[in-house]
Amino acid sequence: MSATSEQRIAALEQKVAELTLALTERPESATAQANRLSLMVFSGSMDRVLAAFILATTAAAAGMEVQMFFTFWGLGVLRDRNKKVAKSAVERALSSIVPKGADALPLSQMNLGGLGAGLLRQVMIQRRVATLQELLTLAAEMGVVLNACEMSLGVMGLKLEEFIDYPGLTCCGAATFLAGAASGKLTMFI
Amino acid sequence: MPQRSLNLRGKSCPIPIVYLAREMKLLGRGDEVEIVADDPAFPVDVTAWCGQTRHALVSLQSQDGVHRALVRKAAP
Repeated sequence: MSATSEQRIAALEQKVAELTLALTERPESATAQANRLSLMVFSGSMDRVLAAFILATTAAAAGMEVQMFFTFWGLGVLRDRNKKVAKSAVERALSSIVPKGADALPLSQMNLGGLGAGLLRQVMIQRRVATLQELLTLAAEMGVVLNACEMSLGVMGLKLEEFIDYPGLTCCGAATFLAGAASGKLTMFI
Repeated sequence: MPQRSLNLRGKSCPIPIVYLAREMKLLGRGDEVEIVADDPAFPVDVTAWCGQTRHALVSLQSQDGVHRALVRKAAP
Protein backbone atom coordinates (compact mmCIF):
# COMPACT_ATOMS: atom_id res chain seq x y z
CA MET A 1 0.00 0.00 0.00
CA SER A 2 1.37 3.42 -0.91
CA ALA A 3 2.20 5.98 1.75
CA THR A 4 -0.52 8.35 0.56
CA SER A 5 -3.33 5.81 0.88
CA GLU A 6 -2.08 4.90 4.37
CA GLN A 7 -2.17 8.57 5.27
CA ARG A 8 -5.66 8.88 3.87
CA ILE A 9 -6.84 5.87 5.87
CA ALA A 10 -5.27 7.31 9.03
CA ALA A 11 -6.99 10.64 8.38
CA LEU A 12 -10.30 8.91 7.83
CA GLU A 13 -9.90 6.85 10.99
CA GLN A 14 -9.20 10.03 12.92
CA LYS A 15 -12.34 11.59 11.47
CA VAL A 16 -14.48 8.57 12.39
CA ALA A 17 -13.15 8.66 15.96
CA GLU A 18 -13.98 12.36 16.20
CA LEU A 19 -17.50 11.86 14.87
CA THR A 20 -18.13 8.90 17.18
CA LEU A 21 -17.07 11.01 20.13
CA ALA A 22 -19.25 13.92 19.00
CA LEU A 23 -22.24 11.57 18.71
CA THR A 24 -21.80 9.99 22.13
CA GLU A 25 -21.29 13.37 23.79
CA ARG A 26 -24.42 14.84 22.29
CA PRO A 27 -27.05 15.38 25.00
CA GLU A 28 -30.10 13.12 24.73
CA SER A 29 -32.44 16.08 24.23
CA ALA A 30 -30.56 17.13 21.12
CA THR A 31 -30.81 13.73 19.49
CA ALA A 32 -33.91 11.93 18.29
CA GLN A 33 -36.47 11.19 20.99
CA ALA A 34 -35.71 8.18 23.15
CA ASN A 35 -37.97 5.17 22.76
CA ARG A 36 -39.32 5.72 26.25
CA LEU A 37 -42.73 5.65 27.95
CA SER A 38 -43.10 7.88 31.00
CA LEU A 39 -46.06 7.24 33.25
CA MET A 40 -47.12 9.56 36.04
CA VAL A 41 -49.16 7.41 38.41
CA PHE A 42 -51.20 9.82 40.51
CA SER A 43 -54.17 7.56 41.11
CA GLY A 44 -54.27 4.90 43.80
CA SER A 45 -57.31 3.16 42.32
CA MET A 46 -56.84 -0.48 41.42
CA ASP A 47 -58.39 -0.21 37.95
CA ARG A 48 -56.32 2.81 36.95
CA VAL A 49 -53.10 1.41 38.37
CA LEU A 50 -53.78 -1.89 36.61
CA ALA A 51 -54.09 0.00 33.31
CA ALA A 52 -50.79 1.74 34.05
CA PHE A 53 -48.97 -1.55 34.69
CA ILE A 54 -50.50 -3.27 31.66
CA LEU A 55 -49.18 -0.42 29.50
CA ALA A 56 -45.81 -0.43 31.27
CA THR A 57 -45.17 -4.15 30.85
CA THR A 58 -46.46 -4.17 27.26
CA ALA A 59 -44.25 -1.21 26.36
CA ALA A 60 -41.27 -2.96 27.93
CA ALA A 61 -42.18 -6.07 25.93
CA ALA A 62 -42.04 -3.96 22.76
CA GLY A 63 -38.52 -2.88 23.64
CA MET A 64 -39.40 0.51 25.12
CA GLU A 65 -37.70 1.94 28.15
CA VAL A 66 -40.32 2.60 30.84
CA GLN A 67 -40.27 4.94 33.81
CA MET A 68 -43.14 5.20 36.29
CA PHE A 69 -43.37 8.10 38.70
CA PHE A 70 -45.67 7.53 41.69
CA THR A 71 -47.14 10.51 43.41
CA PHE A 72 -49.91 11.23 45.96
CA TRP A 73 -52.45 8.33 45.96
CA GLY A 74 -50.27 6.35 43.59
CA LEU A 75 -47.75 5.88 46.40
CA GLY A 76 -50.14 3.39 48.04
CA VAL A 77 -49.23 0.87 45.31
CA LEU A 78 -45.67 0.77 46.59
CA ARG A 79 -46.47 0.19 50.26
CA ASP A 80 -45.55 -3.09 51.92
CA ARG A 81 -48.04 -3.82 54.69
CA ASN A 82 -45.52 -6.02 56.49
CA LYS A 83 -42.98 -3.27 56.92
CA LYS A 84 -43.34 -1.21 60.05
CA VAL A 85 -41.53 2.09 60.42
CA ALA A 86 -41.39 4.56 63.28
CA LYS A 87 -43.63 7.58 62.61
CA SER A 88 -44.89 10.65 64.40
CA ALA A 89 -48.60 10.86 65.30
CA VAL A 90 -49.22 13.22 62.38
CA GLU A 91 -47.43 10.94 59.90
CA ARG A 92 -49.41 7.98 61.18
CA ALA A 93 -52.68 9.84 60.77
CA LEU A 94 -51.81 11.02 57.26
CA SER A 95 -50.57 7.66 56.02
CA SER A 96 -53.59 5.85 57.42
CA ILE A 97 -55.67 7.22 54.53
CA VAL A 98 -53.28 5.81 51.90
CA PRO A 99 -54.01 2.19 50.83
CA LYS A 100 -51.51 -0.33 52.19
CA GLY A 101 -50.16 -1.96 49.08
CA ALA A 102 -51.09 -3.21 45.61
CA ASP A 103 -53.63 -5.71 46.90
CA ALA A 104 -55.43 -3.16 49.08
CA LEU A 105 -56.37 -0.61 46.44
CA PRO A 106 -60.00 0.48 46.02
CA LEU A 107 -61.78 0.85 42.68
CA SER A 108 -62.10 4.31 41.12
CA GLN A 109 -65.86 3.75 40.78
CA MET A 110 -68.37 1.39 42.42
CA ASN A 111 -65.92 0.42 45.14
CA LEU A 112 -68.83 -0.01 47.60
CA GLY A 113 -66.60 -0.09 50.63
CA GLY A 114 -64.21 -2.62 49.11
CA LEU A 115 -66.95 -4.95 47.85
CA GLY A 116 -66.50 -3.83 44.24
CA ALA A 117 -62.72 -4.18 44.37
CA GLY A 118 -63.00 -7.63 45.91
CA LEU A 119 -65.46 -8.76 43.26
CA LEU A 120 -63.23 -7.49 40.44
CA ARG A 121 -60.22 -9.23 41.96
CA GLN A 122 -62.17 -12.48 42.12
CA VAL A 123 -63.32 -12.21 38.50
CA MET A 124 -59.78 -11.42 37.40
CA ILE A 125 -58.45 -14.53 39.11
CA GLN A 126 -61.24 -16.63 37.56
CA ARG A 127 -60.52 -15.27 34.11
CA ARG A 128 -56.80 -15.64 34.76
CA VAL A 129 -56.07 -11.98 34.14
CA ALA A 130 -52.73 -10.98 35.64
CA THR A 131 -53.08 -9.32 39.04
CA LEU A 132 -51.28 -6.15 40.03
CA GLN A 133 -48.82 -8.23 42.05
CA GLU A 134 -47.94 -10.37 39.04
CA LEU A 135 -47.54 -7.30 36.84
CA LEU A 136 -45.26 -5.71 39.44
CA THR A 137 -43.04 -8.80 39.40
CA LEU A 138 -42.96 -8.77 35.60
CA ALA A 139 -42.20 -5.05 35.54
CA ALA A 140 -39.22 -5.63 37.85
CA GLU A 141 -38.02 -8.47 35.66
CA MET A 142 -38.28 -6.32 32.53
CA GLY A 143 -36.40 -3.39 33.99
CA VAL A 144 -39.30 -0.95 34.37
CA VAL A 145 -37.98 1.92 36.50
CA LEU A 146 -40.12 2.98 39.46
CA ASN A 147 -39.65 6.28 41.27
CA ALA A 148 -41.52 7.72 44.22
CA CYS A 149 -42.21 11.42 44.49
CA GLU A 150 -40.15 12.74 47.38
CA MET A 151 -42.45 15.67 48.09
CA SER A 152 -45.76 13.77 48.18
CA LEU A 153 -44.10 11.05 50.25
CA GLY A 154 -43.62 13.63 53.00
CA VAL A 155 -47.09 15.13 52.53
CA MET A 156 -48.77 11.72 52.83
CA GLY A 157 -46.73 10.78 55.91
CA LEU A 158 -44.98 7.91 54.12
CA LYS A 159 -41.37 6.73 54.22
CA LEU A 160 -39.30 4.94 51.59
CA GLU A 161 -38.48 2.25 54.17
CA GLU A 162 -42.10 1.03 54.16
CA PHE A 163 -42.09 0.38 50.41
CA ILE A 164 -41.82 -2.95 48.62
CA ASP A 165 -38.45 -4.43 47.66
CA TYR A 166 -38.39 -3.39 44.03
CA PRO A 167 -35.01 -3.24 42.28
CA GLY A 168 -33.75 0.33 42.04
CA LEU A 169 -36.82 1.95 43.60
CA THR A 170 -35.77 5.45 44.65
CA CYS A 171 -37.22 8.85 45.44
CA CYS A 172 -36.92 11.75 43.09
CA GLY A 173 -38.59 15.03 42.23
CA ALA A 174 -40.69 16.42 39.38
CA ALA A 175 -37.57 17.59 37.53
CA THR A 176 -36.23 14.04 37.21
CA PHE A 177 -39.55 12.77 35.87
CA LEU A 178 -39.81 15.66 33.41
CA ALA A 179 -36.25 15.20 32.18
CA GLY A 180 -37.10 11.62 31.28
CA ALA A 181 -40.53 12.52 29.89
CA ALA A 182 -39.29 15.44 27.78
CA SER A 183 -36.64 13.34 26.07
CA GLY A 184 -38.96 10.37 25.53
CA LYS A 185 -41.64 9.64 22.97
CA LEU A 186 -44.65 9.09 25.14
CA THR A 187 -45.96 10.44 28.44
CA MET A 188 -49.19 9.66 30.26
CA PHE A 189 -50.80 10.86 33.45
CA ILE A 190 -52.88 8.26 35.20
CA MET B 1 -39.19 -26.47 13.42
CA PRO B 2 -39.42 -23.59 15.89
CA GLN B 3 -36.68 -23.49 18.53
CA ARG B 4 -39.20 -22.80 21.27
CA SER B 5 -42.88 -23.29 21.88
CA LEU B 6 -45.04 -21.35 24.31
CA ASN B 7 -48.43 -22.50 25.49
CA LEU B 8 -50.23 -19.37 26.71
CA ARG B 9 -53.77 -20.69 26.69
CA GLY B 10 -55.80 -19.20 29.51
CA LYS B 11 -53.65 -16.07 29.75
CA SER B 12 -55.11 -12.69 28.91
CA CYS B 13 -53.70 -9.39 27.75
CA PRO B 14 -50.91 -8.38 28.23
CA ILE B 15 -49.37 -11.66 29.43
CA PRO B 16 -49.10 -13.48 26.06
CA ILE B 17 -47.16 -10.58 24.52
CA VAL B 18 -45.05 -10.03 27.62
CA TYR B 19 -44.08 -13.71 27.79
CA LEU B 20 -43.40 -13.79 24.06
CA ALA B 21 -41.08 -10.78 24.41
CA ARG B 22 -39.29 -12.43 27.31
CA GLU B 23 -38.81 -15.60 25.27
CA MET B 24 -37.45 -13.67 22.28
CA LYS B 25 -34.66 -12.24 24.42
CA LEU B 26 -33.33 -15.74 25.01
CA LEU B 27 -33.27 -16.59 21.31
CA GLY B 28 -30.72 -15.83 18.61
CA ARG B 29 -31.29 -14.03 15.35
CA GLY B 30 -33.38 -16.10 12.96
CA ASP B 31 -34.65 -18.40 15.70
CA GLU B 32 -38.35 -19.07 15.76
CA VAL B 33 -40.89 -19.41 18.51
CA GLU B 34 -44.37 -20.86 18.25
CA ILE B 35 -47.08 -19.41 20.48
CA VAL B 36 -50.44 -20.95 21.21
CA ALA B 37 -52.90 -18.58 22.87
CA ASP B 38 -56.65 -18.19 23.29
CA ASP B 39 -56.75 -14.52 24.26
CA PRO B 40 -59.18 -13.06 21.66
CA ALA B 41 -56.94 -10.00 21.28
CA PHE B 42 -53.84 -12.08 20.59
CA PRO B 43 -53.97 -12.12 16.74
CA VAL B 44 -54.17 -8.33 16.42
CA ASP B 45 -51.75 -7.76 19.30
CA VAL B 46 -49.07 -10.10 18.03
CA THR B 47 -49.34 -8.50 14.58
CA ALA B 48 -48.91 -5.01 16.07
CA TRP B 49 -46.10 -6.17 18.33
CA CYS B 50 -44.19 -7.73 15.45
CA GLY B 51 -44.62 -4.50 13.48
CA GLN B 52 -43.19 -2.50 16.34
CA THR B 53 -40.31 -4.80 17.20
CA ARG B 54 -39.50 -5.79 13.58
CA HIS B 55 -39.65 -9.49 14.39
CA ALA B 56 -41.19 -11.47 11.55
CA LEU B 57 -44.67 -12.92 11.93
CA VAL B 58 -44.13 -16.02 9.82
CA SER B 59 -47.62 -17.41 10.23
CA LEU B 60 -50.80 -16.84 12.18
CA GLN B 61 -53.68 -19.31 12.26
CA SER B 62 -56.87 -19.36 14.25
CA GLN B 63 -59.16 -22.28 14.79
CA ASP B 64 -61.96 -22.69 17.34
CA GLY B 65 -60.74 -19.72 19.32
CA VAL B 66 -57.18 -21.00 19.57
CA HIS B 67 -54.51 -18.94 17.86
CA ARG B 68 -51.14 -20.20 16.68
CA ALA B 69 -48.43 -17.76 15.71
CA LEU B 70 -44.92 -18.41 14.49
CA VAL B 71 -42.51 -15.53 15.08
CA ARG B 72 -38.96 -15.29 13.80
CA LYS B 73 -36.46 -13.16 15.66
CA ALA B 74 -34.94 -10.20 13.86
CA ALA B 75 -31.56 -8.72 14.78
CA PRO B 76 -31.28 -8.42 18.57
